[in-house]
Amino acid sequence: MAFLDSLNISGSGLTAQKFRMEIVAQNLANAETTRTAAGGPYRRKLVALEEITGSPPSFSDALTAASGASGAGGVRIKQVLDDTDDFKVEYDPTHPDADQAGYVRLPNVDTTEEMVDMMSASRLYEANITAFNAMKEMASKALEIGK
Amino acid sequence: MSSFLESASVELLEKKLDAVWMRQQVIAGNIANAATPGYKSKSLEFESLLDQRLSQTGTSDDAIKQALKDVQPVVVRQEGTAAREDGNNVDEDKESVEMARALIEYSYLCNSLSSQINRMKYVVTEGRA
Repeated sequence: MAFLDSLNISGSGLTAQKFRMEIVAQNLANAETTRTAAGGPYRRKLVALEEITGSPPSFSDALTAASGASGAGGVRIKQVLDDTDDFKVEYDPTHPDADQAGYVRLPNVDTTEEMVDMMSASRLYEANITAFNAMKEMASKALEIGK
Repeated sequence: MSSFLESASVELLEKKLDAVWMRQQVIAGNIANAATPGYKSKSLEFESLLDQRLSQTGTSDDAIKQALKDVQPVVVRQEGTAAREDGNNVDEDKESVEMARALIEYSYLCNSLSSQINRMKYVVTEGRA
C-alpha cells in the first residue's frame, strides 16, 4: 500500500465535485441561450460519475487485492450528457429567434434545479476536504510513532 | 524470550493500525462516491473477525500471533440499506462519524505504540532517559 496514494481518493472526489460545479455554472450561464453550434437552444448538461474500481494491475494492487482490502479507488467523471427534457416555449414575438407564431424555444435549464445541484456539489466538496484532512492527520501521526 | 518488537501486543497494535488506515481509505472512497449513481457504500470488517477467531483459540500470545497472521481485513458492500432514487446508499452523516472515529482510534493506537517503545527505551538506557 503506497501510503500517500490514499489521499488521491479524496483528491478524485474534489476533482469530480469541482467539475460538477463547472457544469452547473455553464448551465446557468446558458440559461437563456437560444443559438448553439449544433442549432437550436442550449441543452442542459448533466455529469455522470463513475466509481474507480481499480487501476491497471500493478504489483501493489495485486498485493492489496490478495490481502482482501481492495475496494477504495475514488471517483471519476464518466460522461457529460445532454438533458433530453423538452425545451421551454415562451411567447415573445420581439425575440430575434421567435418563430412565425411568435414563440421562442428556450433552453431546458431549470435554475432551481441548478441551485440544488450547486449546493450538493459544494457540500460534497467540503466533505471530501474533511476526509482529506483526516487522512493527512493520520499520516503525520504515524510519522510520530516512537517520538 | 521473543524480541520486544515481535511481542503479541506490538504486533496487535501494528495490525490494528493497518486496519484503521484501510478503513479510512474505504470511508474516503464512500465520501468521494457520495454522488455516483448505483454506488453501494462499503465498510471494513476486521475487529469482529479477529474477536471471533480469538474466542475459539483463546488469547495466549501464540494464539494472538497466529490469529494476526490468518485474519485479514475484509471490505464488505452494504447492499441492504435504503437506497436513494439513483441507487446510491452512502449516508454522509454515518461516514463523517466513522471518519472521526477512525481518526481518534488511529491517534490512540499511535500513542499506545509510542508508549510501548518509550518504555523499552527507558529500559535500555537504564532509566536515565
